[in-house]
Amino acid sequence: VTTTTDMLADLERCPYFFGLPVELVHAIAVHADAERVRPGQLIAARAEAAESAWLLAEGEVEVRRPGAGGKEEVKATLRAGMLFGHVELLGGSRRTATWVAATPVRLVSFSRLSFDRLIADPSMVGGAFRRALILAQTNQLIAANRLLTAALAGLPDEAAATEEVRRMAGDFGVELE
Amino acid sequence: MQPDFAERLDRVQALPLFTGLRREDLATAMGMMSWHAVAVGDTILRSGDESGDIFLIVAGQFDIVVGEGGRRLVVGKARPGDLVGETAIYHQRVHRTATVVAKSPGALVSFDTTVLDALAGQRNPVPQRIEERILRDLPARIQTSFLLLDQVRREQESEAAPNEGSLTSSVVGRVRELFRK
Repeated sequence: VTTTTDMLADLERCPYFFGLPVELVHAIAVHADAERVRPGQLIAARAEAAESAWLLAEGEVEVRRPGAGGKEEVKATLRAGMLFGHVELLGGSRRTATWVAATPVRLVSFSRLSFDRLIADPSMVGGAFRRALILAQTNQLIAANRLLTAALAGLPDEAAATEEVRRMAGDFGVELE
Repeated sequence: MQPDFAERLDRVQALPLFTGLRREDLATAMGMMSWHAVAVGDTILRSGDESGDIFLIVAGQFDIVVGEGGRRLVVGKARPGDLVGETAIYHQRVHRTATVVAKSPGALVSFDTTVLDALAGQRNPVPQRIEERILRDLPARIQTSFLLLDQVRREQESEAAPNEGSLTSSVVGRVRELFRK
């Protein structure tokens, strides 16, 4: 059983919520649910409407997308502390990947309704949630622009598509080779 | 001649970003922000520089350019109501990853994270509007950069001659498709 205490600890460990006053983390946790997922179980499928975002609290999640032959392949693996599913909620797009638990997984989940409420919340709680999402997204923009700068300068090693880079690009529907 | 505070406030209040906000809240925010008039060709921020301020465009057209030294690509256009330099927000120390250049005469207001924190502490609604706008705009900006990265790498692999115009327009089409921009 996942307790509220577990969920609070999970949020506090996430780098984007790290250092927030405990009462703010607690107020964010009120909007979240704890989920446990068995290995091999589907979390969300590519092309379906986005209804949740998650913090991966424990375990590993496979990110699957169609390969060259159209068959789904594992393109990346998510690890504890990562946020996923939020890009589609923010951008209003359908899922760009299928996520499947690779191990026993614990998730902190935010429904679309909770997610939208937190973003629109004028209190410090909403501010802390928006700040976490902005940090996660600006990290991705910084990474994308740095890699593009390196590629434009003809620095192939620096612009190499590591698994982490492929995962980030995949969140935005871009399949880097 | 520079507009006085009331004129600046009128122009900022006219931005759809701040529709419905009380004038006194905007005035408080504007009192903590800096106003900049810019001319064609002015560089607002430069890739590689240590970041600090975030800029809200009040008037004018701006190019967002990625690349240092050799080849550069325009990855986006910024217009009144848009924010640029947003990678500085809530980061302790980070270097700019894009250059922003004025394509027309314009005006901007600048501020940093401490201003947003101070305003939020006063329950001023301006930081929330700015944060929501940044969150709404970021997915398309990130996707554009990854799509361009993909295309530049493919070009380099095939050693094809670069065609900046078609590169950018095809990417804009894909971003619109995914994020309904």
